[in-house]
Amino acid sequence: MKSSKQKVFIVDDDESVRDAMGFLLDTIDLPHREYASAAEFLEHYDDSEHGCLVADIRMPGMNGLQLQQELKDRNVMLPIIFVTGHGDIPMAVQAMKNGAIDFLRKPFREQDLLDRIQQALEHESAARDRKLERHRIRERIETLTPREKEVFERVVTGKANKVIAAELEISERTVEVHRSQVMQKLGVRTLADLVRKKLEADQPLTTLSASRRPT
Amino acid sequence: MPHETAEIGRFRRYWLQWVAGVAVACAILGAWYLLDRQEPGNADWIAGAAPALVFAVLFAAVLLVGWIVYTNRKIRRQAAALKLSERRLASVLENLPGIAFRCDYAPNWAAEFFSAGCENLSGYPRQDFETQRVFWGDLIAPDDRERLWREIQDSNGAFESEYRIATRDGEQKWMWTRGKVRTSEPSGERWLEGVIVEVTEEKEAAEAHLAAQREASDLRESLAQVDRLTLLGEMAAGIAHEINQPLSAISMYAQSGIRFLRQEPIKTDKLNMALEKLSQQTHRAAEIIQQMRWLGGQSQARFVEVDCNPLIAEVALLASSEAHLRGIEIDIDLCPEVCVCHCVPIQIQQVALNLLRNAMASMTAIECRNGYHIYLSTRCTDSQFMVSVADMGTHIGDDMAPTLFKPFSSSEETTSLGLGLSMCNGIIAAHHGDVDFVNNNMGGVTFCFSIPRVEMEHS
Repeated sequence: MKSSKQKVFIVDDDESVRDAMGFLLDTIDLPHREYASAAEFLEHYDDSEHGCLVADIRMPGMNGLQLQQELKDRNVMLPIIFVTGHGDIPMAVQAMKNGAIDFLRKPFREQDLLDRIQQALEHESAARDRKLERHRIRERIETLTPREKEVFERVVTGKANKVIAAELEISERTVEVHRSQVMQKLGVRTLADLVRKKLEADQPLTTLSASRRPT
Repeated sequence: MPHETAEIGRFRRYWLQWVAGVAVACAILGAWYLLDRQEPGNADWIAGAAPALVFAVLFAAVLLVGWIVYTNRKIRRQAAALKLSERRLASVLENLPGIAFRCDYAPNWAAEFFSAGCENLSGYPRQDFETQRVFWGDLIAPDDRERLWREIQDSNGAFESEYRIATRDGEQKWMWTRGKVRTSEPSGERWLEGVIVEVTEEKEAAEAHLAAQREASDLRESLAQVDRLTLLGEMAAGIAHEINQPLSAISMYAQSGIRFLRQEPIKTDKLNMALEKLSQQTHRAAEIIQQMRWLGGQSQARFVEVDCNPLIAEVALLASSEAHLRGIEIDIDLCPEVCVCHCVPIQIQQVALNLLRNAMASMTAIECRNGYHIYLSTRCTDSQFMVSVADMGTHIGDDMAPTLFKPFSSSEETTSLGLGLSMCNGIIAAHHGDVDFVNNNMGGVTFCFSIPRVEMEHS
């Protein structure tokens, strides 16, 4: 599900590396932009742009880890692939802990880089879709009336209609009506789907990847 | 001797005058006595004068004897003194540790007079020289013989030289000779006069001293080598990083080239560009290796005259890769003048590199309030070439200052051997220069060294 608007942002202080990486991306017609420093990237980057970031970990001024933190602070969800020059393993480990997609040691196999970039782009695209989905679900949840919300909260925890009715001190019939309203508004047919929607909605919006993140 | 004869002669004449004077005076006295006593017509005057005459003659005789006794004693004394002085002179000559000589003006030094010392020095008896059975010139080592003779010929009268001789036992000895070429006025005949002294011990001591100096210099060079290798090791990360850049670029250009080739239609312009850039990057990698090659190389500590500014520029280039890694910028301000110094280039570079590395180390892992810059500058004065490295790290405390240039006084946080600064000190001292430091107003330290500049005679 690669979005046509996705770009690869290359941040490396070495001009030749940036340039060569650009050439490599040209061979698979991937749009890319190059920046000589983290600061330059942050200055030009605009939230509406999608894609992934390939950054050198060691750079003068702001280094790769600091850039990663800065993006996190700004709620930017670009997946980051770090490249490292020489044995910066502790930094690479830190980068991975902070949620980087991957890291490669220079000089790397070009196919590896392209594969990682593709993965990252797919990942970003999927994450963005899920984020949109989450957003949509939350919007729908917002359309529920307070009473419907109360019923919804209780249904997804597996409580029977009878129990809900007792808790809310309303009739079982009324609970059933609310429940079908909720199902309709959220566009689901089964209880299982409803639970899934709930779980999805509970994920924070900025989370990129639920599966890869070490909790 | 002629001087003394003249003295005695004068003495004799002096006494003769007195004796004659006194005799005449006595004669006059006697005559007067006679005349006084004489009565006219008294024919017995002669009998009357006789006592006076006898008195005068006796007096003169006494004086004469006194004189003879006195002068004889005087002459004997003088002769004895002369003998003594001769004996002393002879004794001095005999006991002279060297040789006093007088010989022909010829390469074989045919002896006219050689003092007794020659037996001791050469092992040949003195007579052998003076009867010209052995020639001093033949004892002189063949390598030195011609040179010495040339020196004597070229000298304007006085000469001084050192050379080797082979003694009768075949032992080699060093001789020092100082002498003059004498010319006799009317005939123009020439001969040599002077002294010969053995200087083997002095020569050996001087050679031992030289050898010791050479050894010290070798040791310093080995230490310098160790220091350079240490530096190389410490800089390996920076250098590897620096080489990895062009390598990964090369790899990516190559891969892009292959991919462009596989595509239809082939993007020739892109392919060309990729190959062109690939080639450039190869050269870049080669240059980086070139820059660091001298650090690992075994090299002799050979002094040459060279312009020092480019040396420092090379070092700055080499250090920049590591500075880059540490996020430090090196600002370079080189003196535009050509500044020629008599130095070992690699060692001067090593000192500069050490100072730069220290500066970088002092700025790593601390928060530098004023920024992360190192100022490297060179200056030339009429007599000196100066290099200064100013950092923004930390000041050097009074407790550190006295031991700063001693070996193994590295501060705890660095992993180096602590040879750096003492090494620098040793190298610069061997160049007759100075190393010094001062806490600067940027929060760090400025290290500087200076070495003497070669005078440009033709400028």
